Amino acid sequence: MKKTSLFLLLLILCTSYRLRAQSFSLITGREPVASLDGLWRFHVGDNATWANPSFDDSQWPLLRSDESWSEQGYPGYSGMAWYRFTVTVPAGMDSVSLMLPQFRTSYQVYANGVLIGTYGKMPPHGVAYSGGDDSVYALPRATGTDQTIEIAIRVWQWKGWAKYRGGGPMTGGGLIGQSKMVADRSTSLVHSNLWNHSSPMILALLQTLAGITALALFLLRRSEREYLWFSVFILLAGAGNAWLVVYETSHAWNVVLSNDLNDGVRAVCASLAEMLFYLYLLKGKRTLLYWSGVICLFILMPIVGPFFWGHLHLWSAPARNSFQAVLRLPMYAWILILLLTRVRQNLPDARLLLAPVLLQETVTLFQYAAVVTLDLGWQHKLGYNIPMTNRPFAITMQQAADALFLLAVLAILIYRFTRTRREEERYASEMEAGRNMQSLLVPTIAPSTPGFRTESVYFPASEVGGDFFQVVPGDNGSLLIVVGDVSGKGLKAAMTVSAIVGALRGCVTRKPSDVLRYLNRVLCGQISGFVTCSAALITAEGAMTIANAGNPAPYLNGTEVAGASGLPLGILAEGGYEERCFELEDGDRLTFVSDGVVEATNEKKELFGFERTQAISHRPAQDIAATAQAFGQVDDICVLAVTRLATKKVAIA
Amino acid sequence: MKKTILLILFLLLSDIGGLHAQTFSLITGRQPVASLDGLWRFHGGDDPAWADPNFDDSQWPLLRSDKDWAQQGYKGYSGFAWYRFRVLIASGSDHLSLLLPPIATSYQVYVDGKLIGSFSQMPPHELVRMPMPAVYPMDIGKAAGPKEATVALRVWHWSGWAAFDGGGTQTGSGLVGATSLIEVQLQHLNDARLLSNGASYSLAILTGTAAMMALLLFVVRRKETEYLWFAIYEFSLAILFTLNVYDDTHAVPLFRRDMAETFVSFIAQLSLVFFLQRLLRGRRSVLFYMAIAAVAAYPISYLVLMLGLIGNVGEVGVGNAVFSLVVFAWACNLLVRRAKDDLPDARLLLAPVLISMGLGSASDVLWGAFQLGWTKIYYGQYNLFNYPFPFPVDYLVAVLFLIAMLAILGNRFMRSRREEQRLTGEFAAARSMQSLLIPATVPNTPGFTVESVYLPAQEVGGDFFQILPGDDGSLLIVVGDVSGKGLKAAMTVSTIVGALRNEKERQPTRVLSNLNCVLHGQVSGFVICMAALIEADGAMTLANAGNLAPYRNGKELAANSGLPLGFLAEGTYSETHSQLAPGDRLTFVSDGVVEATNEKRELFGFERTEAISTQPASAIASAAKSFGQKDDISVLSVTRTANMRADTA
Repeated sequence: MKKTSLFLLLLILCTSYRLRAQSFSLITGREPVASLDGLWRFHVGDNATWANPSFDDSQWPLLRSDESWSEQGYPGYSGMAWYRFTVTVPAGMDSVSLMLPQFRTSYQVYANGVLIGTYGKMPPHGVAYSGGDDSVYALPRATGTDQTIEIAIRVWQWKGWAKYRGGGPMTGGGLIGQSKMVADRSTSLVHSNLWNHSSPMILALLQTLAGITALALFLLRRSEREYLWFSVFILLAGAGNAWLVVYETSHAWNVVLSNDLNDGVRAVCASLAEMLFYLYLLKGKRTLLYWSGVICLFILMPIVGPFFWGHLHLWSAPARNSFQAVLRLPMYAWILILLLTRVRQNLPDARLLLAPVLLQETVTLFQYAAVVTLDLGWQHKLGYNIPMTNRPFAITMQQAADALFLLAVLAILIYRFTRTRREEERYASEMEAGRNMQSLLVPTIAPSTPGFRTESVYFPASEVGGDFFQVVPGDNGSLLIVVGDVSGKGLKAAMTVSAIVGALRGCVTRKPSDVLRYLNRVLCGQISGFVTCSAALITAEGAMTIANAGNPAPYLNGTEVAGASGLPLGILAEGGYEERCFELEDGDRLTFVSDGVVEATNEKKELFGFERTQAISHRPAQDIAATAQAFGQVDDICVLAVTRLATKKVAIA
Repeated sequence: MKKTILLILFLLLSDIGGLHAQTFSLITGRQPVASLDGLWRFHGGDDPAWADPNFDDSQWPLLRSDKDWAQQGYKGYSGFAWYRFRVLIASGSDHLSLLLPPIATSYQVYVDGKLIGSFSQMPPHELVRMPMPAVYPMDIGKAAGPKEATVALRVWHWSGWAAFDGGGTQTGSGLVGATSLIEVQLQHLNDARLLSNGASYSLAILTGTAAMMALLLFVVRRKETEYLWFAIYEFSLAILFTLNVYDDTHAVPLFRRDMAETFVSFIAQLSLVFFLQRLLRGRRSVLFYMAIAAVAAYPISYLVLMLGLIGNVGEVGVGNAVFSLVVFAWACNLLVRRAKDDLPDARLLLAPVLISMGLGSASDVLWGAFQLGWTKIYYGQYNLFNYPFPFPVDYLVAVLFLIAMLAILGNRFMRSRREEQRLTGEFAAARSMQSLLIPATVPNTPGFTVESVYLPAQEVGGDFFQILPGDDGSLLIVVGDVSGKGLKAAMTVSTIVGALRNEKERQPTRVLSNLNCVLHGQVSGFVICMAALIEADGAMTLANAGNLAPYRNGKELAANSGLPLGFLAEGTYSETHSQLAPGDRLTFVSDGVVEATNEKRELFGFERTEAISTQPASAIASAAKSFGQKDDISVLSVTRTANMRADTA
């Protein structure tokens, strides 16, 4: 017998060495950690002497330490209660800690009458706390001998949930052991718990990214409000998921305050943003149902949940959850009716959203039903976060439905993107065709003009322009030049140009004032806006007649040809136009510029102006146009230059 | 002394009863788990006798179980080696398990000479896997008294790792104890390891989603192949991230895993190069082909290593660093050049791509150096944040890249929307312009009732008509259709209307030949047209240039037709004469009515047109439109009113 005891003593001594030499004993070499699962002494009420280690608790009933007191003969009890148990700690173990399971609601831990830790807030200002895995409490340093420590836990159960959730420990799993060991166990519990919250983490990440994208889209196009409300909605949903992770995995949080902020503010705002998103996306109407949805969410929801339940304890959680589910119904009905109406109208956005939204709404209501029936005790299988799968981490039905919804919205974005691109392409190719058409009507390749050299440049500000010119050589060697500018820009002006060119083609007269009168008659009442125009006829001998209807005067060898101007075309039905006559010498050069040259504007908002225009007006047409364009084109630029050739005159003479 | 023993025995016994009453002892009530950290007997080589519990290992050296053997005097050793240690078990305990820490590379576990499990596969069919903790149930049966079990580990270490990673135990924290506790412990270890890879999980989902979206974009816009390359790139990244995760949940055979990783990395690199080239319209320069060659060199060099042609993982690593620098140089060159050209896509991508490729190259260089043993650190050990899971710096670039791509798409989307909106406005203006040229309100036509409907297929149309009442009570009607549709046709319509507006000539054949003159050489395509002059007494002259014949009181009114306008410089057209009695109704329809096509590809056709030609113009037009409009629809009907005729008479 002596031998055995010596052997045992030897083994015990061996364990105190950090490194054991090749033998590992499950008898004496156990890890310095013991479970606290078992029976604890329990007593309701509150008495400061119950913390005292010498207090005799042998008359107190024994309760299991892995479930609440409600399940062990104290159903619905709220307020104060004490637990007591004893731990023995070996000599020489310098640092020992307790790890307690989750309690409802707040508590204080005493070791041998000394307060060593508090969870939550105790009365008189008791506040319910929840969440967190950091309930590890260091015991006082051990003395030289084996030591017995009396642990007393003073628990306060919050009235808010006493009726349907019991007080005291929620689960087993409490430990006592060497501090490092306990800390390691606690850390691995935290990691395990975090890992099981991967689903909300990832959802929060995706929702945040989607929210930022939508916000960026909105900032680029303020007129499309659905992006703003989607971004608000999805960012708040992401915040909800992130909050869930932080709430359930980090430290303890004030239940009432977080319920106020999360249910009372965040969730309500998210639902409102959701309604506004559908309103703008599906061009819904603010019907009676819409307003009842808004009132239910914005006014009744915060009253039912945070205020009546959290602060006044008017009703229990099942009632609160039932009310919350019912208050969501008008909103759900409004969204569904709107969606179905639009689906029937074949709106692709609505068709993409129908299934995910239906699923989302069903799952949310099902979830509410599960929680309510669980709290009422009608069923025990389904609770918060009904899982679809547990591997590799828990994914709830709600989370899966949320992810699906996100995908549907992404699909809508892609659909819109491609539709817009297609439309843009179609318009662009139409415009290209229009431009080709216009280059036939206003050709920059001048017709053969014996006796004259013409140069022309045409730079429309957009695809097609509102400037025009026609050079019509006559049989007698004369040249009729018509240049002009339709007010406005772009396609509308280009269509007017086409009509003018058509009219000019059919025009029989070559007398400048008659040409203008003729055009005026054609245009009057047929266009919006007006047309400035000048017409000039140069005979083979160099006699030039010019009439002007509000167009900039041409330049003759770099000097402006001054002359009276009539009203622009298209304003008064009967307008008269004065003619002026000049003589063109051999080599004289007549240059018409449109106001796109004079009005070219640079980055400093300076105009190109008449002086600069005049200064370069003797240069080739191409040069003038390119200079104005480089300066800063804001309108169509058109330059036409006619030079009277010497040789021809000699030939005729 | 006796008392003490009794007490100890009592306490040992009380341990067995599941629930402790009120007292929890850290002396006697400890959980049945013991650490295996300590000194284990170790011996190189291989001998089946070493599994035997009775083998005397007292001469074997003792090695720490929390470090590899390379750090304890066996540097670079690869091949077989054995560990031995003993476990003391209390009487009556069953369901015990060993939790062994990660041990490199493969091993077998013997308890009392009996093989109870193995990790991966030993030679001759060796498999190299990433080491990870594993649980082995001990199956020792119920013993009467305390007993001792001998655990022997037969370990094999792969020579490929031996140069830079020692074999055997790596970290310690092995356990022996009650199976239920050991399994919970393993679960926690696994969860913690999975959590440490949370970044890979998240990015696998993120990149996978991005890949699906990009693929969808490509499917609807086949011309834009950059979306396809982007989808392939993101999909490859998703696979790589998933592989990372898979490593931690499954013991993956290393060669197969590395082959897969090498191949997918190759695809990722290649698709990235093609994506950038397509997106930024890079030329196929020499540098581009060098980049492609460098991308291809990576899997080839790995294959060479696997076939044993060159010896060293480090050399391959350094080679990779060089290859990745070539790709980096190409991308730098292209991006900077395009960014200088003010391409918005290039400016959005510049920072993320350069950072990602730069860091990638730096990491390849460091990894090569690490594998050669030149440095002790390698990049990738640094985390951006640690809560809720560690997020390595190099993962950030994947996110940055995605955000840049999102920005590019957003930018494109918004630019398209702006452009679409501008052009919609332009076309709306064009339409309002056209409605001035072809007015919906008919001018005052004494003696005649005129109805007209104009329904262009698009914003603007190529059909036209003009109603020109004369001073003498006559009415000149010109109807026609420009070949083609849309804007181009609409601009020709403008020209025609401009030419017709001030037309002094009222003789139908002259009207047509004048129009022909105006149009010849000025339009692409051609114009069909009909002119009809109705005198106040009902005498009607028609001239036709390829237009559909009109209907008189529901019957087609045949008219000789010349060539369409715009073909020949000099067009000649013959006249057809006819008479309109009071109350007679003359209806002109454009071919958009006849050629309306329904979903079954049936044409509206001449018969149906003729049958409804007595109805009001708006009824005819809407019948054709609802049948299935394909082209511009215009309908013009003229009724000679009876009383007017009486006046004239």
